[in-house]
Amino acid sequence: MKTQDLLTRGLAAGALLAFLGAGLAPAQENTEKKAQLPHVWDGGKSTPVHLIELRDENDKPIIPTETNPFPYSARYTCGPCHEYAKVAAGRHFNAPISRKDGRPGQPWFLVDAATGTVIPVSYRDWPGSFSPESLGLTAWNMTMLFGRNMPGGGTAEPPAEMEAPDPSARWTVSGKAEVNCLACHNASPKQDHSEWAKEVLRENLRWAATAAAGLGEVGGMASRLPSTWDIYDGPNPDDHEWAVVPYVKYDPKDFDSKHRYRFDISYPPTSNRCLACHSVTPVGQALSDSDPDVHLAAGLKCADCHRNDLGHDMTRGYEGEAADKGRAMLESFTCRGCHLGEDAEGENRVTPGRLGAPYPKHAGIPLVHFKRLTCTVCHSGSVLKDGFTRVRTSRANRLAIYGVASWATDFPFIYEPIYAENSRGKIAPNRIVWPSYWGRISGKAIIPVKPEEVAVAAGDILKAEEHAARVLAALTTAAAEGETPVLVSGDRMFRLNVDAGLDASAYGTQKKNGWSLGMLKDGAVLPMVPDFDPDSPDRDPGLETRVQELLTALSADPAAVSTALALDGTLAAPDDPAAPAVKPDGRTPVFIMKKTLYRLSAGYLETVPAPEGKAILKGFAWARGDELGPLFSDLDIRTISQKAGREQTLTEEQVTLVLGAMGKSAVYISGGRLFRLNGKGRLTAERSEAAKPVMWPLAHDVRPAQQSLGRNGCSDCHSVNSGFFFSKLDGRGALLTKKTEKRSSTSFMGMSGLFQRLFGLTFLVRPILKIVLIFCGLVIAAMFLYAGFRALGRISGLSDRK
Amino acid sequence: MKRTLSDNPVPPTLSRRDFLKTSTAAGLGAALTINAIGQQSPAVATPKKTDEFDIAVIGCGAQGRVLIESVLRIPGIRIKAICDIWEYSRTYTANYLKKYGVIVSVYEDYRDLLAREKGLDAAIVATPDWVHAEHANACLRAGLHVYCEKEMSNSLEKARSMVRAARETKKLLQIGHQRRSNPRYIHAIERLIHERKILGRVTMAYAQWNRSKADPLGWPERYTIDQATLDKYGYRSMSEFRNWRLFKKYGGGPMVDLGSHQIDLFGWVHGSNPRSVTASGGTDYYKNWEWPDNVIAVYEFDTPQGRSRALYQVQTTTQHGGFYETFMGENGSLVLSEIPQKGNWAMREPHAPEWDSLAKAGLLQAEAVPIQKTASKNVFLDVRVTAEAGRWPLPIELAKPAHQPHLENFFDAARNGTPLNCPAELAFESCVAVLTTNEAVKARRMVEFKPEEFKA
Repeated sequence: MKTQDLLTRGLAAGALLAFLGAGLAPAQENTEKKAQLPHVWDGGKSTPVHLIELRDENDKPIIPTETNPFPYSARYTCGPCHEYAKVAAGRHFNAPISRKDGRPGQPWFLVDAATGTVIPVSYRDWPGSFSPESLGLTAWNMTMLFGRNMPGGGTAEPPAEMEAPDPSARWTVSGKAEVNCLACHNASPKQDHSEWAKEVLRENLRWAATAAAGLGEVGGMASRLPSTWDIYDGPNPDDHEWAVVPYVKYDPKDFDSKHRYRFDISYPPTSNRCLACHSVTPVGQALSDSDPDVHLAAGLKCADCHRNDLGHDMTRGYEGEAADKGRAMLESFTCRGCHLGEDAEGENRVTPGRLGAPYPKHAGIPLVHFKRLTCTVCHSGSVLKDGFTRVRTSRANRLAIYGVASWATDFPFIYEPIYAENSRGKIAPNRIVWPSYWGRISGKAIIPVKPEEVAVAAGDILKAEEHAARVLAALTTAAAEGETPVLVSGDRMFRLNVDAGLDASAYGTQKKNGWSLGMLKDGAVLPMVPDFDPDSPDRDPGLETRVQELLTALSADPAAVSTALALDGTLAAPDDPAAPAVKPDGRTPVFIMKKTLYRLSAGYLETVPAPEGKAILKGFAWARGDELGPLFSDLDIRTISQKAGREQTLTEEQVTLVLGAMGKSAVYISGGRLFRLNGKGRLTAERSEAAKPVMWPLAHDVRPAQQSLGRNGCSDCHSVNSGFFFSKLDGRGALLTKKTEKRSSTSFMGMSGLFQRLFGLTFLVRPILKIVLIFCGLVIAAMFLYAGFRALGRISGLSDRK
Repeated sequence: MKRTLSDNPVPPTLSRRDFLKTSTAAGLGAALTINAIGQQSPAVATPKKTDEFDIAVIGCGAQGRVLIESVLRIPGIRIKAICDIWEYSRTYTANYLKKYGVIVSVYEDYRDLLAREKGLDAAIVATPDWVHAEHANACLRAGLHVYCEKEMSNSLEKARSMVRAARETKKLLQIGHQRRSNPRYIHAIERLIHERKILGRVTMAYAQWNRSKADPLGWPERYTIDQATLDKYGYRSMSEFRNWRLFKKYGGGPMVDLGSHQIDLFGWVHGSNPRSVTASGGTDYYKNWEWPDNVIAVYEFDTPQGRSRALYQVQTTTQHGGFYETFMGENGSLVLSEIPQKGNWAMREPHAPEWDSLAKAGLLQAEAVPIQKTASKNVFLDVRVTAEAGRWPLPIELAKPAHQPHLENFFDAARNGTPLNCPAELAFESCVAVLTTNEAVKARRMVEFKPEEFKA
């Protein structure tokens, strides 16, 4: 999947190299001009006070009391002493131009839950990942998708040569996100990663670092401004409510009389800064049950091992990094080097014990383990005891970004530890994700289809939950105090959650057919409108007022009635992506009670006879001319019910329908299987290279020695049913299905499960063998003793006398 | 009597798809396709197809870019060259176009552009008001159709020269009063006020454009235009160049920048030019402005039904109420704004003829339900106030940038001969009204117009 992008990559890399070589000339010139201190460490081990003036992107000092000041610029604030170009070429920023980058790491995941899309993406040439170019993702797209966890620079600060052509790009409005030095080096408690993520989402890229560091208060949203806006156009005097131009307000109290700002800088960064983007936690683990990495617990910081100089070429700490980078010193930052004094070849050529690293005895462990396993097998990640552990990571699952509502995602489903052989022939623990995506067959390749294109082709098929949520949201406006509109189907009740999705809970003890809408009040579900006889002269007029209120509420959101499928299951025609998401299709909400149909006419309630033959309909429905249909289609209800309480977002029925809508060449990948329709239109599953999982090695969190694998002896691994060899893992994707890839731990290692079971059996008889051996030893010793005494007797003459 | 279900109670509203056959979606899609892929660098230019139309943009500041954004959405229009005396604007705009795959020739001086760019069909002029005439006339005389931003000029003499140049060259000159092509405004004024006479006799109009106080525009220092270049193009300083609207030499102040749009509507609705204007205003807040920062003006219009008055205010120190126009008549009133949320509805007088038939015909949407009394625990709440009159929303949407229909009208006129919605002669009439208002502020008295003053 990578070869096709070589040309594009070459051009991109060329452009970036040109940028780094020549495009940054002004910055370098500026640095030379302004440099007061050469960046040569003088040996002092204290961190200098950073009382410096903030400078903006025009290299002008920021005066906090000036009107409409610019955000601070790292290039011109930090650059005079810390060469910006050199920093910007560092590992955190150079992915677009440094695609060969040693050991694979975690890719980005392009996630769209609605279409069941989970695609690993990386600029790096890592196996199993798609390049952004192959997915049609530009630097702007990547920044908007993943900028929340980017430290600025690189992708978020592309040179002009890389920008064209991309009509979606809005760099001229947003500005570019310079390398955000403060994201890591700001020790101030004001530093806020969530603020950074928020500003990126608002397209306030040039303001994001200022806001996240708490240097100033940032408001406005570039995302709401026209694409032609320029920062020198200034604020919009006609709109202070919606399309508010981004601004920053500095607090003069934070500056001294010379307009200098006192930074609280930490070199190296505190671990808290690293963990904003590099946390990994088992799903469901309570915070109170969570231990830090043993190194952190011992008082170290991430950056104590993951060091770098001004070039920010981070030490990653894997075996082989020294050879990859040609820097022997790196041997002492691997587990083996630091704790054992061994280099990657196992030779004692490294000075161990940096920062007080203890020397492990590893008593009684056969040497083969050190030749065949990485240290991390026994010491890192989750213990493979009761099966694989599902974890969530900061960058994949959007952890530690806090706001009004939780922003973390369940996708992708990441499992660890997957033990597999690495490029050095050693077994190492990995994390794994099975991709899920829609694609089209092109020759022998599967070309992924963008989620937005899938959504267009799918029409209403994938909108069951959205539709139900819209109905419930619309009805909320007609709910009295203490009432919550709910949808009841089967033995479950669905209500709107704060993320505009559905929360399911059990309701009743028996499954009911069909569905109904009601108002939840004090734990009971009341009918939206109690039964009444519309033809009765004694009917309660309040009930019809209630009908009017509810119909008015439903009418307020056209999508509440327009996204429903027609009764015959036919699909809406594929739409153009530029069209609005909600298109009224002429359907209006109606309410049917007995043989009377209620509807709104010019805001007033009117009644007509319910059409003959549609008597089965009762309650809320939609009407369009003579057409009449239920508010929720059977597919809607089936889909909502099947997925209730599940994390997967697609059902087999939905996939079947969407594949039909996308045409013959369409396929769907999930859980290690490729799905497509056979000649009869039925969904089939098959193995495919395109469905293979993506894996990357893990190193943290490191557990204490007493929790390492093997602490309890050989049987931790070498037993008939050890989790290490015989745990099973089902390929888990976005599709709710049993047709998934099922793998055992040994299969990932490329080993025979039978051999390992037999080998494990030997450990059952090993205690007896030890007794036999000891007995034999004693017998032999007795024989030697006897023979010895005999010989001694002869020498002394006692034997002869006898 | 009960109605049947097939008696569709929903009137056939005019959706944007019905009303505007060229929807934004289709337009944008096609435009991007054509512009992004079809347009080539001049060095490798492909032969022009018969339906392709090559244009240049003179003036690439904020307004020029707004027009460019719309042009990119119109199929068949190829931007071949841009021109601006400020390097920053030239670079910004060239980069902006590049992301759409549009590579253009870039000029500092419009004379070089006209000399070197052969095969152009039209030019868009979005420079400061005081050079509109110079630039537009040069383009007209170079054989190009011209779309020129309003106000035509800050001098009636220069504005008159533009009308004459268009006449002499027989080229089209559209002035950028974009509301003239806005389907919502056309529907409201032509269909409802003029044809259906929804307001009855129009007796009063009111419009305002209030905006918050603002600081002078700045610029990146490294992009400061050197004094020799400023002198060459007639600007006294960089600050005056950036804030030209505030200075009498270059612009006409808020009354011209903002008021010209709305004063033009007064004439359109009344079907006549004003007979007089009385105005008051001054430079009361800003110390460095040459033009009044606030103006209140009263216009008198003589119509076949009788006299009508129009009140206009422009404020630059408060955004209270924003910008909108209200036309009041004996049977109702109609509120419009370029932002639909601020004005897109009619309100009926109680005695007026019913409007239900208009709603059924799709010319209005049904009256919005008045807010109903709700149950309240506050028994002391006095709810016996008159409910707000129901609003009858207009059924037209404009899902395009505001300037796009006006540009479409211009290109359609140039390519297919359809009439311009705001030809120079028409724009000159409102230019007279607007520029004279500034004179009335200065004179501090009523100024009466003579009909011949509106003729160029």
